[in-house]
Amino acid sequence: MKIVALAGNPNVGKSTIFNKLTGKREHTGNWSGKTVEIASSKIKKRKDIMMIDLPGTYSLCASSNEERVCADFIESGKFDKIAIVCDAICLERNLILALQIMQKTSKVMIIVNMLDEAKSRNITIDFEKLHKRLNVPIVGVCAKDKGMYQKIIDKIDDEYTGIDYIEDVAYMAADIARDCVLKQDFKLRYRKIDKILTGKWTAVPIMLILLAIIFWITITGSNYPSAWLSKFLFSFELPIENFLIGINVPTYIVSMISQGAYRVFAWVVAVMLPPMAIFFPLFSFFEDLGYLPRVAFNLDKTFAKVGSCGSQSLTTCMGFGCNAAAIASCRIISSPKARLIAMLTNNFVPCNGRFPTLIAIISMFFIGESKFSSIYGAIILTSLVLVGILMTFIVSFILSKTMLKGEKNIFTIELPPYRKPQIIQILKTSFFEKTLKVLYRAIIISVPAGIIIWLMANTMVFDISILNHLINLLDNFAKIIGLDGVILVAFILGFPANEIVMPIMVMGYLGAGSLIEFDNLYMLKDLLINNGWTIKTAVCMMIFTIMHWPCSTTCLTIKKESGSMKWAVLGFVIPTIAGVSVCFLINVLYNISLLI
Amino acid sequence: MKMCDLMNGQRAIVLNNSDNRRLRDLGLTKGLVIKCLFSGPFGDPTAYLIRDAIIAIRNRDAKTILVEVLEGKE
Repeated sequence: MKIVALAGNPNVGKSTIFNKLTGKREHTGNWSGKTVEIASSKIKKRKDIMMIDLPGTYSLCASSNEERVCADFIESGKFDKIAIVCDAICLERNLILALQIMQKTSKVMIIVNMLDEAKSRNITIDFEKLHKRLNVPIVGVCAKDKGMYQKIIDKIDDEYTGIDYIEDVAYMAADIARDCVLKQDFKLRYRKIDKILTGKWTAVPIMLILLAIIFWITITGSNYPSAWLSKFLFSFELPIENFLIGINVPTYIVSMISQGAYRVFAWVVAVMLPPMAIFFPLFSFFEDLGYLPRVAFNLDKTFAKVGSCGSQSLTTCMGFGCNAAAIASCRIISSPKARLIAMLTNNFVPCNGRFPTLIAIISMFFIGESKFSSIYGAIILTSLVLVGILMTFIVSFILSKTMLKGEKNIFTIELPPYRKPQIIQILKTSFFEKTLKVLYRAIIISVPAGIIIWLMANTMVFDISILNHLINLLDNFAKIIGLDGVILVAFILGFPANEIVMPIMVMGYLGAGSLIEFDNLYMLKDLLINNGWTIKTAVCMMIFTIMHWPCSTTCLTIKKESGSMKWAVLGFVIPTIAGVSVCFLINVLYNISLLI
Repeated sequence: MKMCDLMNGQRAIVLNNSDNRRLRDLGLTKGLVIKCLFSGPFGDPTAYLIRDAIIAIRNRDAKTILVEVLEGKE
C-alpha cells in the first residue's frame, strides 16, 4: 500500500481534491484549519494508494497544534509521496511552504489548483518553466476539471530528484513566481463587495440581518418537517408495543421500551433533526462563499477587547446550530488560551435543541394575539440571544483576566476570494457528515436516557416515584432561583439532550409516567399557570435555558478537545453559576417589586 | 514608517523581518512589496495584499514592521 499525503496552505482546496479522488465526503470549508481530524481513504481508481488529508498550514515551523500535525508527519518520513496543493492565484505565497517541504524530502509532487479562477483573473502559469525550476512532477487542476483524477494519478508514481538547499525560501519563492507566473492587468476582484461587507456603517447591520435570516429560515423551515417526523415516528410506538407483547415480553419491560426509550428517541429526533438539516448547510454556504472569514475580520476588535479573537465570533455562531459541533470547530483558533475561552463560553448561545423551548415560552407568556405578535416574538428572542452573547463577553473577559491571562498571541486571518459555493457538495457533506452523525448520537444518547427517565417516573419508593422524591427535594432550592422543583429536575434529566426538557417538565406536572406531547400551547399555558407559573417563572426559565450546564455531548467534547477533565468541569460549572446567579437576582428583584 | 500607519491603497516595501514567526510564515518578509487594502469596521485589524493573498493583521502586530511607501501607480 502506497501512502500519499495532501499538504498545503489553508483554503487551497485540499479537501475538495481529497473528496474527488477518494469519493469520500469529508467536510471542506473556507476558513483555515478546517480539516479537523486527519482524514484518510483509498483512492477510488487506485486501490493500492491510501490518501491522507493533512491540516492546512502556512509553514513547517509550526505555531499551533494543528500545524504541528503536518510538520510531524513530514518529519516522520512515513509516506511515499507528499502532494503539495498550491493556489494558482497566490502561487508565490504557496511556494514558500512547498519549498520548505522540498528541503525535507524529494518525494514530492505539486498540484496547482484553482486554475479556472486564475484564468478569469488573467493569471497564466508557465508549467514547463515551473517544472524546470522545481524539478518535481507538477499538475494543474481546478475543481470543475473532470479529468483531474487521471492527471494526478498519472503523476503520482513519477520520481524526480527535487531541488538543492535554498538559503532564503521566501526570496526563492518570489523569484520563481516572477519567472513562471504571468499576470496581465491583474485586478483584485470583489473590492466593491468587501467595501460593503466590511464597511464602517454596513458591516454590522448586514451581519445581524444575515444572522436573523438564517434563524428565520431554520425555525420556520423546520416547523412542518418536525411535525411530520414526529407523527411518523410516533406512529411506530403502538406497533412496537404490540410486537413486544406478541413475543411475550413482560408488560413492565414493554412500556419501558416503548414509552421510555422509544418515545424519548422519537422526540429528540423529531425536534433536533430538521433544524440541524437546515442550519448546517446554510452555515456551510456562507463559509464556502468566503463570508465567514470577513465576519471574523469585522468582529476581531470587539473580541480582542475581551481577550479573544475574531474567530470566536464564528464558533459562537456555530453554537446556534449545536454547541458540541461548535466546540470542535474551536480548532480554528490558533492561540490555545483564546481557544479555551471560546470553548468554555460557547454554551451561552442557545443551540437548536434549546430554541424550541424559548419559542414556546415566548409564545405562551409574552405575545398576545395581535398583528405584530410574530415581530414581538422575534424581538424578544433576539434580546435573549443578545443576553447570551453579552454573557459570552463578560465571561470571556473574566477568564482572560484570571485563569487564562497573559498570552499575547498574534492573530491573522486570510480573507479568501469570494467563491461560488458548490451547493450539491454542501448538501451531501452536511447530510452525511453532520446530520447522520447527529442522528447516530441521538440514538445512542436518548435510548438510555429514556430508560432512566421512565424508571425514575415509574419506580415507587414509599408510594411516591423517585422522580417526585427528587422534585420535592429540589423544590426549595429551585424556588430561590425563581423556578420550581419540576423545572429544575427537567433540566437535570435533560442533561443528555436539551430537547427533552419541556416534555419532562410536562410529565412532572401531570404526574405521568412517560413524556407527554402538548400540541396545544393554550392548554400547556393553563397547565403551567395552574402549577404556579408567573411571568417571573417564565423569565427565569428562559434565562436558565440559555445559562445552565451544557448537554452531555458538549461536556464530552470539551474534555476531548481540551484534553483535560478540568476544562470539562469548568465548562459545566461556569454557565451553571452564571444561570443560578442571574435567576436568583431576577427572583429577588421581582419579589422586591411586589413589595413596592 | 510603521506598517500600521499606511493609508488605504498605499503600496510599500517591507524593511525588516518580523520577530514573529507567524507573520514570516505568511510570507511577510524583508524586501517584499505590500499594499494596504482596507480596515475593519472598527478600524482594526487591517487587510493587506501580501504575495497576492489578502491577509488581515492587527495594528498592534503591524506596528512591529517598518515599511517605506512607494510613490506612483503600480
